[in-house]
Amino acid sequence: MRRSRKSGRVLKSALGASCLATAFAVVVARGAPQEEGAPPPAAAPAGEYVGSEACATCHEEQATALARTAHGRTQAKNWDGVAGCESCHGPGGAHVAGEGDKEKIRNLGNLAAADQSEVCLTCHERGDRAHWQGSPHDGRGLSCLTCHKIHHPADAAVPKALLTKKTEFATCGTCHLKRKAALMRSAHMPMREGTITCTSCHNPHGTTGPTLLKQDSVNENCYSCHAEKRAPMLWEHPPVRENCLNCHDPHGSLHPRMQIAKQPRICQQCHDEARHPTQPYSDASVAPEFFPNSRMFDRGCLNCHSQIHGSNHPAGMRFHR
Amino acid sequence: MTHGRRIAKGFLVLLSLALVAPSLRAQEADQVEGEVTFGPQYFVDEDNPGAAKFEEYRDVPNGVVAERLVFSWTPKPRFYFDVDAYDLTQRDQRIGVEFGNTDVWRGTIRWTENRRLWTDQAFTLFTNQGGGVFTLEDSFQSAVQAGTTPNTDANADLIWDAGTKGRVVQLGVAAGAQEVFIGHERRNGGVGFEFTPTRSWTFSITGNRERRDGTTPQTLGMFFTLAPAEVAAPYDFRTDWVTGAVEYSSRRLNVGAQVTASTFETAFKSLTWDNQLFLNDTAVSASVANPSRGRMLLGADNHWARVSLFGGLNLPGRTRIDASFSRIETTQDDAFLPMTINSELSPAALPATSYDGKHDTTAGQIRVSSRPSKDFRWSAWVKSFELKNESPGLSFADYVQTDYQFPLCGNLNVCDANGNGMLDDRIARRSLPYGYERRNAGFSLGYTPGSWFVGTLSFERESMEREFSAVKNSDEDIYKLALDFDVGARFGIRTTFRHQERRADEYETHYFEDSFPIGEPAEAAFNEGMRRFYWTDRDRDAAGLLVDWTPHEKFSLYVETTRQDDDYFDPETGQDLGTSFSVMEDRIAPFGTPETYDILLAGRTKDKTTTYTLGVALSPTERFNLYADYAWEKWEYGLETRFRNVSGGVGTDDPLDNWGSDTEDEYATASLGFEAGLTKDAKWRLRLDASRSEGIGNIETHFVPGGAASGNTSLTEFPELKTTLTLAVAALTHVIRPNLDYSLRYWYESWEESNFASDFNEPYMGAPDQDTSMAQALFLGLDFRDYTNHILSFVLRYRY
Repeated sequence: MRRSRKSGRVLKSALGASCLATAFAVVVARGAPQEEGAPPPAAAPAGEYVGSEACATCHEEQATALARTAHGRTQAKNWDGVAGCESCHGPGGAHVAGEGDKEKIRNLGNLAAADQSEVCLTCHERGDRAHWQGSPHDGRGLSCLTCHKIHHPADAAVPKALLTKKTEFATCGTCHLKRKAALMRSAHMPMREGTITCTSCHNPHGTTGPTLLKQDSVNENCYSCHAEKRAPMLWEHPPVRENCLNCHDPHGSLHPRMQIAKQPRICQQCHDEARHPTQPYSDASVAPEFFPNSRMFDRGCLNCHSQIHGSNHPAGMRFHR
Repeated sequence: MTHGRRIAKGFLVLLSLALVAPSLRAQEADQVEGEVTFGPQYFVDEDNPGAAKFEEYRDVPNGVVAERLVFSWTPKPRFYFDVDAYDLTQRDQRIGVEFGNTDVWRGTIRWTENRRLWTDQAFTLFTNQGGGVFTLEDSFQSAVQAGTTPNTDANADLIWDAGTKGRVVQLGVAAGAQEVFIGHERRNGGVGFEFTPTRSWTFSITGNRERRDGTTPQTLGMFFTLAPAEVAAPYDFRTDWVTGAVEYSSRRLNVGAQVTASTFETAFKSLTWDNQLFLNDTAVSASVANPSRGRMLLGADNHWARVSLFGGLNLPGRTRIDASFSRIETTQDDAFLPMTINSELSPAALPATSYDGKHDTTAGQIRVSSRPSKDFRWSAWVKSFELKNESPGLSFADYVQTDYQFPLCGNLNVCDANGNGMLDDRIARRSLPYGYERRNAGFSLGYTPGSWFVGTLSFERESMEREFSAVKNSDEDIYKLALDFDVGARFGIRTTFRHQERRADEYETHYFEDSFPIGEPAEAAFNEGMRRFYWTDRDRDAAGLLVDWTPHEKFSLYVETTRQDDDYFDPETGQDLGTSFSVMEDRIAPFGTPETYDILLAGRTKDKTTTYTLGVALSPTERFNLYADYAWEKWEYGLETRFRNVSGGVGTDDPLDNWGSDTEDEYATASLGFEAGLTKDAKWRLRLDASRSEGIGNIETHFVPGGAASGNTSLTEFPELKTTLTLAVAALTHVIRPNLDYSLRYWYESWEESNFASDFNEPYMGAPDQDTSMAQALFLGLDFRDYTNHILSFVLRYRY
C-alpha cells in the first residue's frame, strides 16, 4: 500500500498561517504596551549617567583592558545616546551613589541569555548579526557572551572578535566536540592547518540558509571556494547540482575527497542500472591475494567517469569527457 | 618563490617592524604593541622525509620560521593599524591587515596561501607538451598497437608473455615512466573598505582575487575495450569577486542591499592525450573506430552575479521581522569542443557552437520571531530557494562515446529512422537542464517558565519540485522537540528529538527517456526498481542527549550522545527498499507482451549515525589545567541491489542475482592536554596537546544463497580500511620577562593508512597477479606514504 501523504495544501496552509501570524504579530505588537509600561528584562536600574571616567576610578583594570579593543576605541553612542561603559551596563549613577552596590548596575552575567544578547544587539543587530533572534543558537539558550568575552585581561592577547578562547576553532569546539574530532580524519578541510575556519562556511549568529550556512544553500556555500563547480553544465548530474552533501562530508571523512562512502559503493547507492554498475566488485582477480578491481582502486568509478560534477563536452553525457 | 627567499622576506618584515616599533612608541607611550614569535625548527627524525600527507595543506620547512606576527599601532586616538600574520616565512602564510578611523572608516587587506599536495609518488609515460596536450612516443604507441591480445601468461610466471600488449605497456612503464609532481597552490588576496559616515549608514566594497595553479591527478576515461590512463593535468583557475553593499540601521530596523559579481576563468579548457593502444585513428566498422587520441573538457569559464536585499524590523513586544531576497545569475557560454577528435568518425554537426548555459537562482525568506513575555517565544518562517535552469536542452544527433563509437539503437521499434530494418541507427542524446525549487515553511514555539527549563517545539514542511527527475514533487514534514533543563548553574541536560517524513508523489523510473529524442534504445537496461536515496521516500528519526555538569568550579564534565536513523521506502508501494515483488507487465511497452517478472526495490535502504562524546576539564590549582575529550562516531549505509544484464532486449531480473552491502565507517578520537606552571611564579610552564584519531571502514557484501551475482562465484570481502593519526605537541616555556619568553617544543606526528584503493597504486596496474582488466592502462600510481615525524623547535616570543 502506498504510504499516506499529505497534500501540498498543507504547505499552502502553513504559508498562509505564517503570513497571518506575521500580520497578527504586527497588529498585536503595535498595540502592545511600550517599554515604559513594561520594563524589559534587560532594563538597567534607573539613574544618572556618570561617564566612563567615573567607572575607571574603581574599575581601572577593566578600563585599561577595554581600551585595547574596538569597544574601547569607539566613541559611537548607542540609540539612547550613551557611549562607553554605560552603553552596556546602563546608567551608573545609582551604583556610584551606592558606593559600588552591585545591585544598582546592570551586570550582564546575571541576566538571562536572551536578555544578555538583547543588550549587545542594541548596537550589533545588523550585518551578520541581524538574524540572531530566533536562530538555532538563540533558541538553545546561548547568548553573545557564550562565545564572546568583552573584558579580557589587560596583560593577555585579545582574541579576534573578542572570543572567549584563543581561536575561533577552540571556541566552536567547546560544544562541537564531534566536529573538532572530525577534522582529525584522513580527508579533511584545511582547518587544523589554519587556512579556513568554521566561519568560512557558517555564520553562528544566524542565517537564512540551512545549518547556519552563510549562503542560501549548501551548494552556493561550496561555490564560494569552488567556483569551477558552479557553471551551468550541458550534462548535469542531478545529485551534484542539488546538494554537494549527497556525496561529500565537508567535516571530514575516511575516504579521499571527503566522500561519504568508499568507491564503488558510493556510486552504487544510486546506480543500479543494468550491466557494470550492478556488479558487486568485491572479487579478487586472483585468489587468495586481494587485488582491487579497476572500479575499486585509485578513483574507483571515476577512473572512467572522471567529470562526475558535470560536463560541457558534447560527448560528456556519461561524464567520460 | 623559494623557501630561502621567503625566509628572507619574512624576516625583513619582522626586522622592519622591530625597528619601527620603538620609534613609533617613542612618539607617544603605549601606541604600539604586538607580538612576534619565531625560531628554528628541525626534523630530528623522520621515517618518510617530506611526506606529502604531512604537508598536504601546509608548509613545514626545516629551518627558521616566523610563526606569528601581531602588530598594532594607534598613531592617534581612534586611528589604528593592525597586522596579524601567521607563517610569514612559509608557503602557507596568512596575513591580515586592518586599519582605519574607528566609527568612520575601515580598510582591510588579506592574503592567504593554501597549498595542496596530492601524493608522494606519481610516474608518467606521457610528455606534457603544454596547453593541456599529453603525448606518448610514437614508437611506444606502435609497439602497443602491434602487440597481441588477449594477454597471456603461458608459463604462469606472473609476467605477461612477450609480445602481448600488456607486456609492452609493462615494459614501457618500467623503462620510461618519469616522476611528476602533483600539487597546486591557492593564493587568495583581498581588499576591503567600509565607510560609516553616520551611526546609521554603512557602505562597503570588497574585492577578492584568487589564483589556483598547479597540477591535479586526472583520469582519462575510455570505452571498456580501450584502456584508461591518468595524467598530471595542469590547471590554472582564476576567480575574482567584487562586492558592494549598503546598510541602514536604526533602533527599529535595518535594511540593506548587496551586489556581488564574480568571474571564473580557466587557462586550460581541455585535455588531449594520446591513446596508448593506437598510433593512428583506425576504422573498425561503420560505427566504430579506434582512436589515437582522446580529448576531454576540463572546465568552463563562468560569470556569477548576485543581488540581495535584506532587512529586519523590530516591533514592540520583542518581535522582529526579518526578510531577505536574493537573485543569482550564473552563466557560461564556452565554445563546444567537437563531438570527437577521431578522424574516422564523422558525426553530424553540433546543434550550437557554444553552450549558452544559465542558472537563475532565487532565494527569499520571511521570518518573524517574538518573545512577547519572559517565558514564551515563537517564530514562524517561509523560505524559498529556486534553481531555475534556463539553459537550452540541446539534441545531439550522432552521439559519440569516448572518441570511439557511435552507440547504435538496439530497438528497431523505436528508432529505425532509416527504415532499413537493421540495428544501424545512431542514437541521439538530448541534454536535460536540471532544476529544482525548495520551499520551507514552519513555526517554532518556545516555553521558558524559569531559568531551569527551555522547551521548544517546531514543525516545518519542506517541499521540493524538480525538472527532469524521477520525482517531480515531494514533501517532507519535520517535527522537532528540544527540552533543556538547567539544575542550578552547574548541571544542564539538553535533549533533542526529531522526526522527519519525506514523501514523493511518484517515482517515475523512465524520466530519463526525455534524453532520447528519437526513442529509448535500451529500455531494459534501466531498472524498474531503482529508487535513488535523495529522491525516494524517507523516514528519519534523530535524538540527542547532552549532559553538562560542573560539580565543582575546578571540574566539569560534558557527555553527549546522538543517534540518527534513516529508512527509505518506495513511493509507489510503501514497501521498504530492498524488498521485491512480482508484477505482470510489458517490459518493453508497448512493443512487447505482458509477462511476470520480479522487481527488486534497489538502492540505499538505510543510514544510521551513532555518536558518543565525552569531555572533561580539570583545574585543581591555578597553575594546572587539564582537558580530555573522546569522540566516537559510526556511520552505516545499507544497500540492496541486483546484478542485471540485458539479454534479448530485456533485463535479467533474476532474484538469485540480488546482493547487498553494508558499509560502515567508524571513527574514534581521543585528545588530552594540560598546561602546568612548574614554578610558583609560573615562569616555567609545560604544555601538552596530544590526540589520537582512528578511522576504520568496513564493507560487508552479502549474496543470495546459491546465487552468483554477475556470475562470480569466488567472492571475497573488501579489506578493512584504516587510518590512524597521532599527534603530540609538548612545549616547555620559560618566561624571562612578562613580554619575553622562549619555548622548547617537541612535535610528534604519525600517520598510517591501510587503503586498498591507494596502497596498490602503481603506474602499471595490470600484471597477471593484479587486476588484469587494466593490463593496458597507464596510471600515475598515486599514494600517500605513512610517516612519523619528530620535530624540535626553539621558539622565541617577544611582546612589545
